Amino acid sequence: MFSSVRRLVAVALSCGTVLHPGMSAIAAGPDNATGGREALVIVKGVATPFSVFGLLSRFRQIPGVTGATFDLSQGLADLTFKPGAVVSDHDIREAIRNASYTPGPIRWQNGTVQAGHPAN
Amino acid sequence: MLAAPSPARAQLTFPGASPISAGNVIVMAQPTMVEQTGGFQSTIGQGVLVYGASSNLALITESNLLVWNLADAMSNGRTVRLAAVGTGDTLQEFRYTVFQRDGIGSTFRIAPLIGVTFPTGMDNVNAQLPHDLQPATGNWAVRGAVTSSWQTLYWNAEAEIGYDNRFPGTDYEFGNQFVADAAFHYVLWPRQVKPGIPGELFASLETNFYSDTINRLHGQSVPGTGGQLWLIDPGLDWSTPRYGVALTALLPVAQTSYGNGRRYAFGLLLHLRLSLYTPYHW
Repeated sequence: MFSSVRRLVAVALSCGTVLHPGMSAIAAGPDNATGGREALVIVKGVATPFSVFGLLSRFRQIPGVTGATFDLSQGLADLTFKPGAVVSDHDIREAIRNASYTPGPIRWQNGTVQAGHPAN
Repeated sequence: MLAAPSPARAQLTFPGASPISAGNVIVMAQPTMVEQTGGFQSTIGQGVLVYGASSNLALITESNLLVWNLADAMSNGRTVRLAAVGTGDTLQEFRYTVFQRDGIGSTFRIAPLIGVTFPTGMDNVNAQLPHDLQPATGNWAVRGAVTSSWQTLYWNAEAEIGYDNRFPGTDYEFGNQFVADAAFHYVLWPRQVKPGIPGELFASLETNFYSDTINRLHGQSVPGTGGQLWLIDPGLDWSTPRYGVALTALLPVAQTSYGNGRRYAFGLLLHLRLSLYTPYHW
């Protein structure tokens, strides 16, 4: 069930459209601060398990990030934040670029999606 | 015979252009055993440190921490076993990604690298053995190479072409070396990459070609040195986000040597890697 939902989310993100009904259609922008929510992010260029560690480590360096997982098969990162944390799309894209990958679309949501690839 | 059975680089047997995040530190230990005909045996404990200095720049330090060379020699009509044990040389490389094309679950990269070999090791621990059986060369060297990587969810391909230019140390100069490497890794398990898998098992097939010019002593050619060696390296690689373990055989396909009867028989490379992270980077 969750895997098919996640696949839909990934397809939607990669196409730049919103298909998942539980996902809020918040426009990506530099002032898109969060308040205790979750972000789903397409990351391009990650193809092997060993590449995941560096990416997740970069995400965890963003102040306010409490958790980060990555689904290798869909190129989909799932970030969770402290309540009230202020994190922008720019922070997330910068972390991805520092990890030497290419950021794709970002979608913010309040619900919880099952974790993907763990960091260890 | 070729100068040194230098076993491995930053990937399994050579450096590719694989991504490394800024601040990511990959520590590798690569014990390698090489058997040559005529009772020559070499065991090399190589340590490799790969550091993501920025999103494009990687610093790669390769050091032969312990080299254990054994050779049979005739003494008073008897065969005796001679050993040369000590530290080897250290190579510092700088790799910069100049081309990157990323897709979901795939990346293609080209990254030239330059490197300097420091003669940090012991190049004269046993005077009864020839220079090419000492743990280190005693030579400075510079190297230039171009690497590329094409990675997808189910297979990876890597290639390198490079040249090492060596400079005389203590009157003895190892020959310059041309290298060409290629690798193909294929996911054996899982059959389908899904969320939650603990890691992936790769079948790996790599190949290395070395061509060494002849060594020189006081500017004069040293007979029995230099030549070409072509290896093919089948192996298995278990890779997780945090660590990896690989075992690779190094098998000679073809070799020529300039007058020395010693030949590469086989090698075995154990590759252990651990991924760490530091917030410090450029």
